[in-house]
Amino acid sequence: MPSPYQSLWLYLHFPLLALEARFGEVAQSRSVLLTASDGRTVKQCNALAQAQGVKPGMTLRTAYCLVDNVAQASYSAELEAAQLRNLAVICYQYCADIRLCAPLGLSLEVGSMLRWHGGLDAFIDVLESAIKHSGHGYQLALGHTPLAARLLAENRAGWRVIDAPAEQQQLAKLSITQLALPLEARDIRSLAAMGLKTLQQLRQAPRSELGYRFGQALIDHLNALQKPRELGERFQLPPCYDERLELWHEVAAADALIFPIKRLLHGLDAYLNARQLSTGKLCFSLAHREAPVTPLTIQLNSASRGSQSWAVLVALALERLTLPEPVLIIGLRAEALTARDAINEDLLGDRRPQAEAQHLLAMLASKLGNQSIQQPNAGADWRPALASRPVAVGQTTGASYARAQPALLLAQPEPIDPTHYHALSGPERIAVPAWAQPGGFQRDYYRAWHPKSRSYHWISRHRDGRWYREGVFA
Amino acid sequence: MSADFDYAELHCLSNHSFLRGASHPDELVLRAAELGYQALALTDECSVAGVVKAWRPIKEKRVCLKLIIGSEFRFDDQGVVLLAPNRQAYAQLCHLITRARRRCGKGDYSITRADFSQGLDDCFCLWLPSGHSDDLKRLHGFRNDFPERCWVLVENLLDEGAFERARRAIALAEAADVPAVCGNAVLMHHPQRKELHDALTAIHYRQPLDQVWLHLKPNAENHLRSFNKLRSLYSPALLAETMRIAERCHFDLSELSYSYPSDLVPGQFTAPEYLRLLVRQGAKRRHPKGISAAFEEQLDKELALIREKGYEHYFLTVYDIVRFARSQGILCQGRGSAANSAVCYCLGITEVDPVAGKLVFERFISTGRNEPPDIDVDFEHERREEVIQYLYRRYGRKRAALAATLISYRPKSAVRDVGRALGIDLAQLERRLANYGWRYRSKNWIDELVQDEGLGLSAQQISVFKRLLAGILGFPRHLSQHVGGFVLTDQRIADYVPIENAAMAERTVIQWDKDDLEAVGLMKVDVLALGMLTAVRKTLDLIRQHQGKTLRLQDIPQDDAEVYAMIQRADTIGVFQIESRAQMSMLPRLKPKAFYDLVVQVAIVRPGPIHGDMVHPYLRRRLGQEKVDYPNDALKDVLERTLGVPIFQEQVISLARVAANFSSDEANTLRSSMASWKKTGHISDLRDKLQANMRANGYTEDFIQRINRQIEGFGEYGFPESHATGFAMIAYVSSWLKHHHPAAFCCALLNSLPMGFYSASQLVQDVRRHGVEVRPVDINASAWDSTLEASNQDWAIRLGLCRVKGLNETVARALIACRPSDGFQHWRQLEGIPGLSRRDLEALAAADAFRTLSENRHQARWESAALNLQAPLLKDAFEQPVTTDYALPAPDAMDNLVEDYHSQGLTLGQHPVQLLRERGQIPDSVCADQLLVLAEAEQARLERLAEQHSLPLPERVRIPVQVLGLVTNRQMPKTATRITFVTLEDDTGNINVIVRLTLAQSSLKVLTTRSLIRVTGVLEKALDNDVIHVLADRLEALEAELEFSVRSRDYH
Repeated sequence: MPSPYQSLWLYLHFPLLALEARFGEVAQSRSVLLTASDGRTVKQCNALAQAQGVKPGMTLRTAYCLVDNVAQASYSAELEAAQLRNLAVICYQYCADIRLCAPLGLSLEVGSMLRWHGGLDAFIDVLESAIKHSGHGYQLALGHTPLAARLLAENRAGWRVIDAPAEQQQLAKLSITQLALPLEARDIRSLAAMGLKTLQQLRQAPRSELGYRFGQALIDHLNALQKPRELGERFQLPPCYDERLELWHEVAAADALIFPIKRLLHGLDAYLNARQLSTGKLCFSLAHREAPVTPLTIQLNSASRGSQSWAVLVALALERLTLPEPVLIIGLRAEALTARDAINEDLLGDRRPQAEAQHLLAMLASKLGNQSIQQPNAGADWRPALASRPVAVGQTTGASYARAQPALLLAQPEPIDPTHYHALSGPERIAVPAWAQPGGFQRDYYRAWHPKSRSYHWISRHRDGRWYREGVFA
Repeated sequence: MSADFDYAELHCLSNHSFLRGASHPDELVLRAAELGYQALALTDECSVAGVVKAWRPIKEKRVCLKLIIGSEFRFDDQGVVLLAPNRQAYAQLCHLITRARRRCGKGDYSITRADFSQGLDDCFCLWLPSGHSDDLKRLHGFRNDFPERCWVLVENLLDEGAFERARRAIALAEAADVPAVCGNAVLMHHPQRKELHDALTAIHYRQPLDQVWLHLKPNAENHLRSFNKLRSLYSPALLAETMRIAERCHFDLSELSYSYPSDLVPGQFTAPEYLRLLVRQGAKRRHPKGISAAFEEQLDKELALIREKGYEHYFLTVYDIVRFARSQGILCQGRGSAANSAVCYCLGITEVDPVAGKLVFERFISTGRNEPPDIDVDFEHERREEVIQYLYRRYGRKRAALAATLISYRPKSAVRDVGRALGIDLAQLERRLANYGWRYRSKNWIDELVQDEGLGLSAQQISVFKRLLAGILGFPRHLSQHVGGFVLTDQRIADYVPIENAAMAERTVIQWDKDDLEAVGLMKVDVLALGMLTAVRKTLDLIRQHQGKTLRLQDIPQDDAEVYAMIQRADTIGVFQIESRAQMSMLPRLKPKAFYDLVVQVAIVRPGPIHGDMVHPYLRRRLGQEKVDYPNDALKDVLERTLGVPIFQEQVISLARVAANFSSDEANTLRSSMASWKKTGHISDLRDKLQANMRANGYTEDFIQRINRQIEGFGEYGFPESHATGFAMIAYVSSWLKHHHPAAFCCALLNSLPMGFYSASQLVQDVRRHGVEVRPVDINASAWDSTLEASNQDWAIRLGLCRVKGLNETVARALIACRPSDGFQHWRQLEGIPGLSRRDLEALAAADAFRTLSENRHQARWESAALNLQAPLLKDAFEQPVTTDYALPAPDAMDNLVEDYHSQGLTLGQHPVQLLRERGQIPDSVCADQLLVLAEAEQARLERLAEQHSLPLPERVRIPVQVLGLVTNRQMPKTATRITFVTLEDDTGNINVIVRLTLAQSSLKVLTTRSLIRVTGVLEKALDNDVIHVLADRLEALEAELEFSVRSRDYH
């Protein structure tokens, strides 16, 4: 006698996938919502927001009236899809045939998996505990066809109806809006307007007449509730690098870690080479016996490629690292994976000086930290001291606004006696209202010759009438 | 201010160069005068929109400053300022601006070098060096185009390299042998405006301030500078040249002598002769049995006055427009000061007989006052465009254009734009605005909003935000088109003022608004749209079609007692003006019984009289509960017709003359500045004078304050007697039609929607309560519009296919054209109708229009979905099946109700409340039609008790009640109490609910989002009339929420 579970599907529905992916644990404790791409309507909201009257589809304006303190973000289909794939990865440990039913569901063929897991209950236990661990809310149901499982899960219409006729009875009660019919909204309204409001009523209508009016897809869909038909695209493991290395002995000195790390880097290098990818960030996690994991992140730039150059950067970073405890396991995850440039070879060689400068910068940054390395800047602010304030490497806006003033100003203007100077040009008046700084800013600037030092200075008269030296022209 | 030289600023932009200038034109003028400038040229960018506003204070306050009119142009990174030294140059400038503006969409302009080469023979050109290497060549070009009229403009604004550029400009001038003159590219009257200027720049670039540094001026030097600074920056020669130019400029806006279009007068007549002729002809038509001596005398008096003021062309122009409308069968009605004249009555501009209505012409136009005549003409809203197009045809686009309306910053737009400029998170700001911007916000909501902790602003940011908001409020944002104010001229309009494109295709607007037009004396005729006129005309058409009776407005009896009785019962749903909730509650108290009562009725339920607390004194006097007296005898003339209580705007102005000794000019200023009375600032001196003089003349403080509040109220919705008269006429006519031809009137209203106060559903319910049968939409009986059908010696309304939402009009008309004489008998007959789509079938089925072909909507949809329409419906896999007798489940009453509302916005079946009650889905409550009965019984009981026990009666009857219904109206008039008026509808009628501010705030969600609510409160009734309402204590949403939305008219 065939097992009652021989053809059995399980469906997982994650109703707030995008919202939870975006807000994580925050969604547990406060009202949160996602806005639709038009920026004006609510796409998803959590139970706390719903309790205050917010509903998907509502305008943001109305939502603001109802909830005073709500966190919001834009809905991202990409994030949602990525999160669904992550969940599929989790399920992949327990089930080989997984279908992605974007945007919110996974369909698992479980009939053939049960013998590996010691029965249905055991299977569901491990699966649920893994999904719960992910932190996502979910609705789950079993069904004799993938579609039946999906509809039961999405509509919470009974999660474990083993008896096929009973399952059909449950389904028959569903309204046509709950059936995920492959019809346009207009056609679904038409069906309802004909009085065909439940699956039960739909089944009673002559199928050929129904097909004539609403098309083959509807009939196929109805059939798929009785005869299994796979849903969605089949999931395959995503290609990414996330490896762990268990050390055969505890390593107490940070700089000693470079040797095992080189092995990991080597493996990563081979992996990236094989897949023609580059990475922008190396994320190490150093696990200890007691203390929490020590993270170590190395930012890479375009010039750093290959395990040897990474190893140099890692070694510099390790020099600054203090370990709370000896390390047991090293994890390495490569982030910011990108396709490699089309032109790998620098045929003419004119990119090399730039590359060397970049490499030097990366080395300095690894050694001293990003904030310690600054570069000059020519910003748009009219106030000279603020416009030419040096900024941390990599933080320049790109645009630069040349003005007739020294590139480097004195950190503090020095009081001077104006009679010692010969004004050559000016005044140039710079006045900035109080929105930019309390009390506003006003100074008159002159280019002046200082006979004693035989140099050109940039001097200013402040609002109080006093004179200062602001900088020296090179 | 003393200076050893004279100076004229020749390059100055006001805030009418939108988001560039940071000062109002009058601020610039007053500041320039204060500094001691001899002249100021207002040179807004490709615009003269601000010049009248600069000129008016000079004229009115007798400021000693010459205003020069000019304009700045920018093209190919060059700048040129043109000045108009004389009338011809001004016209040339206006034509240039018109050319440049007409090439582009609203708000933009486009100009090329070639535009400066011709047609500017009198203009002065101030050329700005661009810093390009070919500057000298360019300068030569301008020198040749403007011989002896070209200057190099030298401007030193103390920015980087300013001195070098100034020296270079002077060198260029010398090289080209052109004189140089200095200017300061003024953008603000005072350097303190720099902060606001920065904000305007950020708003212009739609980015936060700290992202637009590059576009911000480095300093605040673009202001009207002091003589000391001018002396230190420019040579005496440059400064002296400004005066040489100013002295050559003579043009003043007062030279714009407007001439009325003269082509309306046939060659053999003069305008006075022709007007007299038309008036005589009209008088005979109006009084075929002979003209009374009184009327004759009135006509002579008016014609003499018109002659004296030279207004003949104005009356002839309006007559011509009205004549055209009448020739096309378009109904129209004039109103306004000049419209209430015997002359206008004879010319057919108005149907109000001023003699019969005891209206005195001089009350509206007097020789003493120098204000232009004012006639607004309302036309049927669906056909006003025909009149507008006639004007364009008659006068051509060069002689007819719409006046502009200056759209200015209001609190909400200001908060939004300034907020963005300060880099405040817009989403967060919108969220706050949604909370604060609502009706129940407190008075100083802006301050509260800015200081809201949720915005997280520092004290410094808050003070900047507030400062910028205060500065930007009232700043113009853009020009829009006036609702219907046409300027018509004898010659080209662009001789007076530039024309530019409006946002709407085929529309052009001039650069001045109505106040500017009035100030320079240009005639404006208001061609307005009024929905009720459409409905009245359609009613008359229906009466003619179905009853064979040709009825004209003038045939309608003026004093039909039955009609007034209906009005007194407040049975006025659908009637013009007196149909609103507030008007209807006033009618049983005011009890209008003659035409003039309607004039008062129309005007009294307005912010002016309400703010001035004039309503109750008037009512008491009318009911004889209070003695009619006058503050003094002098005011008797002014106030006699309204029982000693000032109701109309004209009365308040007359009162200012009599009680506060205002001169004609001051009274005129008061009239034109009422709109800004509340905003203080400009006319606080006028307000002070009014109050001081009234006090000196012995008026009580209470009366003075009431008058002051009334003026504030008028400011927002000024409503003069002259307009009330025109409106009262239409209110009366529509009441008469409603009473005598209820079916035709309701049918016409349905065909004129959207208009008025009530939805189709409410209109249909009302007419059915009046015993008129309303028949449903039917493909075999309905026309496109709703129509009348004979019914037992009376008329029934057949709803038209136009009521069916989603039905294509062309298809519907094709369906009617293809309809067999015995109607459609089977489904297949529909297959041949051109253009018929599945969507149309759906719409018709939803409206149950297939009732003769099918048993119910479900079946109709099932059948119609199988039709083989011209567009292939479906589907590959299925052959058309043999029709089976498959019977679908029939819809129940609620399904039908929902579909009725979805498809037509009304139902002829059961009322939703009735249905829910029958199904037990809503709790018990008192029905609308029981409320009065209840209150009357209670009143009788109280009266009995009072009599038995000799007790005084309470002021009103009060009974606790619970009522429920669909919300059909929410309103909150701008009164101090800030009460919300809600109307609930059940199957028996309407219930008026009053919601206090605190309850509205605490029940915001229910009040604003739910359509079916229950109100627990107190039923109140005054003892002397039948006006009842429920004062709410609690609002609850009912669980049986409906699946469809009921149209509610909210907060109008």
